[in-house]
Amino acid sequence: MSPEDDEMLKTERRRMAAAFDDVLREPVPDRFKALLAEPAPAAEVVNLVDLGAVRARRGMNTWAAWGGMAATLLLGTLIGTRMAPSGGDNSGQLVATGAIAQALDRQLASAPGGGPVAVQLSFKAKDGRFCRSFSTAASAGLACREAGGAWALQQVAAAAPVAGGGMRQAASSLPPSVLAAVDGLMAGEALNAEQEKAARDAGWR
Amino acid sequence: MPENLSELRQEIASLLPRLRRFGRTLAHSREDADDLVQVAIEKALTRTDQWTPGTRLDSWMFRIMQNAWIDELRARERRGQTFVAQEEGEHVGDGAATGSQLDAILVRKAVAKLSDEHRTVVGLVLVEGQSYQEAAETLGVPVGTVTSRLARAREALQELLGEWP
Repeated sequence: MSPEDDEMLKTERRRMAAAFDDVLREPVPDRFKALLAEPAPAAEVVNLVDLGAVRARRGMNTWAAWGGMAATLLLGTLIGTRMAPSGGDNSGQLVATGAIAQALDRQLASAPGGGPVAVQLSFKAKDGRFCRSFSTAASAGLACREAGGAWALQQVAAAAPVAGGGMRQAASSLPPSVLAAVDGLMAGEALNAEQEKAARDAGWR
Repeated sequence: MPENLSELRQEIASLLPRLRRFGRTLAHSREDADDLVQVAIEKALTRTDQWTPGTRLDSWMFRIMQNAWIDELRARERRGQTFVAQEEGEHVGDGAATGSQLDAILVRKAVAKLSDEHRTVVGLVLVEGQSYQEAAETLGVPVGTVTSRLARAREALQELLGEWP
């Protein structure tokens, strides 16, 4: 390259950079940060039991754009090691266990407890099951109560990190894929505090 | 596979502004550009075993973006979608744009008119500041190919912009 050409290239680079540099000063969208966020340590938060992940994924093929990959990552990195009791009616499904299952069983959305799992929303699905949305520091999802008592995961996505490190998220900050799942399953309105408590006390049956 | 996956995540995160900038040279709208970045992140995270530590992560990410963009263009062709270039009006505020803002718009418009091959080398060499050699490695083509593509791209820019540079 001649020195002259070299000088010209420098000038072109400056002009070109000036034309495209705006984006460098824009805030980076949260969805990218969420994709790249550290998964929380498995023991602390998520205990998902993989009961035939391949079949489960086939059944959960409606993940929204960013949920799909994020959930795959989550399942890949945070999967629990405990096996679900055999003979359940949930083979081929992912079911919540550990802290998430506990929260889904006991915690009331109307009375947030400040534990590692937040429950935002309880409702009755079109097929009659009770479903609840939840989030942890690393994930968010929607689970529905099976006849056998397991919370079958309908949707899981990486949670966008919450500013200030708080665990609790408003329903409106659930990932779009989870909100879409809620939307698709909900029969009527979300349960109010009284209905929710009654449902819990009846064992979500 | 990097010894530390979380380090790789952090490094990709620190590249995000530049990945978005490269996306905007490749793609025709801001939405497409950011979608492209997202796809590239997802692909990168599933292929961390293909990343060779010690090589340039930015080049690796640019290559993933470039391939993803070609895939997207082919998919659109198959779907019979014709592409409509986004108007640049959004970049101008209500008031009068300054001279440099206008120039930026003109340059972006000119770049948008280039062929995809030309836009890619312009993005890598002129916008991202890669050397011809680096751009060749990023794209997996001989240096001579980069040189000739860039020469044609610069000629095209000259024609579109008049007194270029």
